[in-house]
Amino acid sequence: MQRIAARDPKALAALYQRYSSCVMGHCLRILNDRAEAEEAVEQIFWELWSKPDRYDPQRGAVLTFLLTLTHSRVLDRLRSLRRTRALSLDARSDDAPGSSPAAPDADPSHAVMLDEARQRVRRSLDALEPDQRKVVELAFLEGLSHSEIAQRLSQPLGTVKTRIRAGLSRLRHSLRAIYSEVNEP
Amino acid sequence: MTCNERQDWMLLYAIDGLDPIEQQETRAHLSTGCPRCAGALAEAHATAGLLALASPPVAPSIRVFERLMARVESDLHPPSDKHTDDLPEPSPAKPRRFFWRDWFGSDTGRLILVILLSSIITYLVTSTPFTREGQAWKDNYKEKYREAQEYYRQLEEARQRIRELESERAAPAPPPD
Repeated sequence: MQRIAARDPKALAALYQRYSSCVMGHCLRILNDRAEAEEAVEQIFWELWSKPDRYDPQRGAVLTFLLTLTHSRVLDRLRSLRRTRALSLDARSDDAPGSSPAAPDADPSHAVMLDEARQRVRRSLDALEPDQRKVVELAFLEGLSHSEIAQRLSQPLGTVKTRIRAGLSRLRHSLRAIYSEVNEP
Repeated sequence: MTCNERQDWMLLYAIDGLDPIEQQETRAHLSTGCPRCAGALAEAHATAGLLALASPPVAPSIRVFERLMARVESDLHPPSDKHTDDLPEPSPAKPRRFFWRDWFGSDTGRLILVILLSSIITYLVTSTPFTREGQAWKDNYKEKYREAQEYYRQLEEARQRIRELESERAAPAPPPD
């Protein structure tokens, strides 16, 4: 990121080669539209280039910063699409259509680290109660608020809040260990 | 809501997932500088990033990379004619019109022009250094001419006197008494 801040395009290209598959995968999973996801990917990496000072090394690794940025931007895009297209999200599947294998990482050890972290996050999600996982995914993957989730699931708001809180609490503790291990190589 | 309760909600706050009132209340609390909740927010951002990692990786098409690097290239080296591209096409140059062409095209203008030129010529003839020098030379010539006439007059008088003396010498002497 320091090289990107110094206006080195090769540094951005290297970061793109390393993380674009992660970013694209998350964008595609949330947006369920390949063209929209690719536009989001371009915009996210452009933001890295044009506003590199937003990254604070004291607050974590580049990967977590990039994925947090990705999640925020892709949810903004999803909400915007909802308003303009009234996009139906009920037909969402776990495997997004049009997905293709990720590009091989130039650094095999880094690819292994990413894959391992990905598996552990999935296991953390799988460890949640089904009801908890459902509300957490609605909140996290679709950016719905408590009230919107309650409406979507036709459940009392209090019940939804309790489940979300319990699910997030478990996730927070299980992901804390992973977070400390994910550092920029 | 206590700080303990906020810990679990901070992830939703980080992704704008709380209801508007709760979102605002949490923002107001964070603005007080609570170190515990600030730490929880940082952790929430990291957790949100890790949750994004759970999505299966998918390679974007090469076009995304090409578009991105083209924007970067344009950012680093903006085209030099960028500004001129934004400007409208310049209109063809209009023939320059001089006000005096219209003005001197009228009869009044021509009359004034003749008077003006005459005045300028008169001034040049009478007042230029060349003319003044010519006048001085002319005055000097007149003086020399008068001097020459005086010399000529004196010369004629001298010649006349010489002729008179020669006549007296040539006349026969009177008979002696």
